[in-house]
Amino acid sequence: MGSLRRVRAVMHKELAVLLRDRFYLLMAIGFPLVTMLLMGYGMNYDVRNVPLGIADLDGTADSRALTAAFTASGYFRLVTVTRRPRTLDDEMAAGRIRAAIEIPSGMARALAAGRVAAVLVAVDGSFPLRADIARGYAEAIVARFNQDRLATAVLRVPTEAAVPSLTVESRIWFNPTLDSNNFIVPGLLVINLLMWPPVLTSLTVTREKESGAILNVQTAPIAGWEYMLGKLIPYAGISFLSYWLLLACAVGLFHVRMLGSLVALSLGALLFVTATGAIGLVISVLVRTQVAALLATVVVVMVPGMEYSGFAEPISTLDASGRLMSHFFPAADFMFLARGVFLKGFGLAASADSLMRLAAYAAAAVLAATLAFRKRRKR
Amino acid sequence: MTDPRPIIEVRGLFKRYRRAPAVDGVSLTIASGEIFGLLGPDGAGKSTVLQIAAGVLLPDRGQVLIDGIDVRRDPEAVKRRIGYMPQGLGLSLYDDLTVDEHLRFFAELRGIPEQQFREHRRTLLDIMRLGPAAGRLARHLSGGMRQKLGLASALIHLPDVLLLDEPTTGVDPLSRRDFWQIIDRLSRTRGITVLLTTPYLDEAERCHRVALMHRGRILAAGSPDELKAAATTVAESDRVRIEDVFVALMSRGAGPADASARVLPTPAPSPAAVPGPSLLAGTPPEPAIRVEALTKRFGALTAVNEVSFEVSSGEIFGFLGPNGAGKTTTIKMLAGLLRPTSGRGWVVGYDVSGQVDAIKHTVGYMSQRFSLYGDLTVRENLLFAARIYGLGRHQTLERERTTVDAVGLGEWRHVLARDLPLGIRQRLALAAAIVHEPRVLFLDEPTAGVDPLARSQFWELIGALSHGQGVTVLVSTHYMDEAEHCDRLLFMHDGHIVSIGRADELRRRAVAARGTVLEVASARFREAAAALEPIFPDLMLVGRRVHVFSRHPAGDQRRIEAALGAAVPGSIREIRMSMDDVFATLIERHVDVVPAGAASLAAGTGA
Amino acid sequence: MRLLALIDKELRTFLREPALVFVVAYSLLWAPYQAASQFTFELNRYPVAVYDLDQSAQSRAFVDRLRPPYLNVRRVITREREIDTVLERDEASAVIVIPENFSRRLAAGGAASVQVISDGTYTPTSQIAGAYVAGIAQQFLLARQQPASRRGTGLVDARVRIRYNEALISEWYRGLEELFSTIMIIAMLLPAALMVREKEQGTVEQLLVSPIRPWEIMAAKILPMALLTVLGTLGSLGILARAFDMPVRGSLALFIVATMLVVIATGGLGLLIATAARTLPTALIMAFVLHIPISFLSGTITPIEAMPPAQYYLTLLSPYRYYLEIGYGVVLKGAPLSVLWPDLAGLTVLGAAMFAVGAWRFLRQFG
Repeated sequence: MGSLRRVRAVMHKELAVLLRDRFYLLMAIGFPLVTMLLMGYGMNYDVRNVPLGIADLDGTADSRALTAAFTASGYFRLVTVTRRPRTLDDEMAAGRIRAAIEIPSGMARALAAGRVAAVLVAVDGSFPLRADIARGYAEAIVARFNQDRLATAVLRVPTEAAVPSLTVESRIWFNPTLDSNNFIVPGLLVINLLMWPPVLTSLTVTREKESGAILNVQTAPIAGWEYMLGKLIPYAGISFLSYWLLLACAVGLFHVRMLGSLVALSLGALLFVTATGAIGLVISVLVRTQVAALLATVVVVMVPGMEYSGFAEPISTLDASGRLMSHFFPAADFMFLARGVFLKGFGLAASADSLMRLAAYAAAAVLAATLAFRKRRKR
Repeated sequence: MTDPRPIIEVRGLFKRYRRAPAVDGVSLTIASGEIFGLLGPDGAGKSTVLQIAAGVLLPDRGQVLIDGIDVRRDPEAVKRRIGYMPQGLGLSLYDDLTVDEHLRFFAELRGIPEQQFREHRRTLLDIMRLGPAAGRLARHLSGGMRQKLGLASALIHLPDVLLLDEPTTGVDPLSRRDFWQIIDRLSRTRGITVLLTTPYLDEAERCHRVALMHRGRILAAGSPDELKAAATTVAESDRVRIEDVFVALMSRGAGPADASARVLPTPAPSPAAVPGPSLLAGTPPEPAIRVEALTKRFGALTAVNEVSFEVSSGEIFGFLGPNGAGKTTTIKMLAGLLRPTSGRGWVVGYDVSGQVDAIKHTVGYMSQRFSLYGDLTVRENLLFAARIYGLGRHQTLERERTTVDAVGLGEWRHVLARDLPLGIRQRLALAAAIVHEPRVLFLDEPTAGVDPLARSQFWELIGALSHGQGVTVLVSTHYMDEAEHCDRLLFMHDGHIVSIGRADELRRRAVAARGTVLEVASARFREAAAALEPIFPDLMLVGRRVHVFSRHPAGDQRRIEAALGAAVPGSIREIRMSMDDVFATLIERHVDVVPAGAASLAAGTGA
Repeated sequence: MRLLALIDKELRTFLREPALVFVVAYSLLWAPYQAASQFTFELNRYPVAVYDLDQSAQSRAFVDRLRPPYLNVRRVITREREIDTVLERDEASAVIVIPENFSRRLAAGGAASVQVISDGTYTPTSQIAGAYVAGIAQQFLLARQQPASRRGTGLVDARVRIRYNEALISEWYRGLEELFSTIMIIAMLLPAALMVREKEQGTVEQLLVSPIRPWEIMAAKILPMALLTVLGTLGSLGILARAFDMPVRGSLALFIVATMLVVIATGGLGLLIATAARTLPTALIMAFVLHIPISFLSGTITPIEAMPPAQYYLTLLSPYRYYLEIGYGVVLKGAPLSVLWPDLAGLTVLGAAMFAVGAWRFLRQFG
């Protein structure tokens, strides 16, 4: 009973401060939304319209057909056509094209003679992932071009037995249209709830340490856990509110469909903001100044949280040590849950494991915060 | 009545921070119902003792017992019995909470039942006269009101013991007077025990007993009279101030660490308010500073309102007034840091609105807060200061040397500024302000928090600069006792000039307005106060003495004797009005005269 | 002389402030290295599961080809239900299904097929398995086919070469990405932090009351910090080059000039922050938040050509866009000034504009 009142007293105070301090409110609500919008619109992992330069030294119907095969694919966008291969080098060095094709003179002649004609394809490797995908496209387009040639040849000589072929049917599950938003937006939801709650909470206790207001609490008969809970609840609460706004943004603005259980996702979000908020509190209790708290939050929470969250690449593509590390950060679990609920249609049952782990993280973080808080200083 | 039973016992307390010992063997016994003052400059260890007593800091050795409970063993049990107000003029308040929300927050922290809370709230708002401001955000409160809110917050559970850490620092004289009346009333009506710290040594008189602290040790403890008597061979304790006692004890017990403060190059003039020689001698016709109707507005707030005055060349001119009176703003306008909204001003003949560059070359400025680079050494700071004034290489080195010598910083030359003791830092700040040999020096609260010895040395330096080298000094302070060091004074309040004149002139004016002060000393001072209150409603209990204002001292003396009768024996004598009272009196009179300022003043004090 | 005194003071105070030194050392020297090394995304060992319904010699030969440096078979599936669980639980990022009729069709000279079912949650990588398997299938087929079966049909052989980073070493990219994006934060944060600290400590008054001109204060904030940032950038580049054998192919002088330009331009933003923030934590957060749109308009994260048109045109107004072209151009591509001059021109013009805005606000507040 008494505990409840004390927790509530701290909560009320924090809430009033939070709602009346515009900068805090901005950090709790404004910055996550802005980040979401900027990143949602600004991030793009689609490899389409790769700027392409072609040096067609052949100038025949065949070379034009090959060029057309590239431009018609939608994966490449023809930017430069030249007769000088050197020009392509410069264009690529200047970053104006990312892929270059050099069709040597005599290609058509070689093809007509039934020989294999070499075509040089250069891909800019500065962005390795994109380069790799562009290379795949280029190879597939040329393979297709060859297949078509073989097929026409077979048509021309119908008596021959059919040439065996092997096609690859690619099917994409969970996000068949490969819409980038479906990938990025749920990820951003997680990243925002990873970043901002600990920034908020790591500043709260240090701010009181700097002003001396912490003494009010230290000299009052209030237990450490009561104070920590009173601090955590408003910040976790406002971060949870921020979650709903981000969710509305994801569904309403970015048109990401949510296939799974809203309850599971919301529960996960609540546990997640509790965990990240509590980690911020731990930092806040351990350091003395707001600046130190911010730096520690970036170094201890944000950077590794991002790296091992599975935001940009699936956890399964990490090596063994990376996969192991990801278990130490709640971000990976919530990322898995969020993408699962949004795209894979996770219900409560499918989410149960992740929820349990998130609950364990949250409990551990809150416990750590209350254990770290001392009402009496050594120095 | 004072109960001989000890309620706070401090036994052999030691506390060491990273380098120096903060508390170095402190023992104290405070009786129930006592108002006990822990006096000393910044860094003396006062706050550390208080924090250990409040159970928020662990001592290295020793113990504190409150009401017989060992704080170390059962801090939570102690916390229920005490109220604690941290340092820093309500810095520890929450700017975004209202007065009422503060009270409710502290009540709920302490689990006070609703009914009881309402009673306490009403009582406290009433005592503090905060009722009208109950709905106001803390960030919109004046300094005095913040202090009262801090006090009310610490008192919400009406504890038996109140620990107050520098409750009066930076508060205006009116609010200070209010504060002491509140403390007195609490002590009288509720028998509350108060342990407080203060850097203002003159406040010793307000306490029943005091301990003088310096560098973690107690130099002396006892009632103010006892201390004075012990420190002086001449039994003229009336003239002796606690400050003198402190300085005497400090220099007696000074170890090698104090050596730095030992000598000062120029002999200082007597601190008594003798007009500067430049006033008497044939002075140049042009005053060093002339100000006409100078005004500064920040949005809706008028910080400085049509202020006019003149300062003669070579004069030490004191600006006195509480925080927010407009002292700093005026000085900043004169130093070329702020543009006046209207009105005019000249410094050494240069216009403060138009000839800012010329002014910057001729004035030195020492700002309110320590504003040198903590990460640079003394020497680096001074070289930097000289170079930014465009001094050449040779001249820079030369000036650094002479300034270090003049100010007595020799042995600190290669120490980082942030590691300097406070008094030495202030000296460094002064050195940085004079390294380019300015003709006019602006000092904005240069001595805040500095120990008395360092303060008096600082004033000697100022005296040497002014009377020895003819530098004009405009200095602001909220230590009213420092007024005595100035040739002339200007009292400021709420953006207005309250009064200008020499200290003795101002005191005469105050006496004329309110009467002289009669002091009643009695062992049974509480009964004396109760007996006199019907006759003198505005009497003040100052420590163990009762002060009343009297226009007819002879008649009043008889009335007092009659009122006290034989039951309460005591002695009565006329005393000199303190500068605090002079200031408070002149402000009150000024408020009557200028109704424009009255509204905001009333809001400021909650009257 | 006065300016020199100020610069001297800036450097001294900076070096004695552990928090700032930590930020610079951590983010410029350590973070790019860490970003490059810590995260091991296995592009060359893409994790897949195989569901072989055919279980023939042919199908096993095909599965044999699914191996690094392209794919890594993490699991072999025996029941259809497992496809769901493998993908749902992110145990592998794609499942390759070989149908029962695989060997029969191939033998009959008919059209055989394999299925690649990818997890579409991660759009950037979800096409990788499909592309890899398509390539492997072509090679598998060509190896089986007798040259005769081509029957004189001429074929095109695409010789794909990756340039500048032949082995697709992703450490190079990640290290440079982190470095370039760190430069932005640091160049913005340092002048802002130093100025805000003077505000906090009240030393700014000491400066303003002296005959120092505000532009001198400003220059003293920007110049030494720019120098420091450039030095840190070079150090970081050295660390990346040494740790990951990353080449620095172009003119270092050109890189230094461009970095200096961009750091000074960004310092203008730092000045803006310095006028708006009153405390150091606020300044830190402001720099952090401002950094987000700047990096999205620069091309560190999303290459410019992949941006939607509106964003693409906005990048034309960002000095960083030009700086990154120069950065990647000099370091990885060895591009000379004759190729990069349009970017250098753009950087100079826009950088000057950005700096001017910051300087204007700064001089207004402190002038």
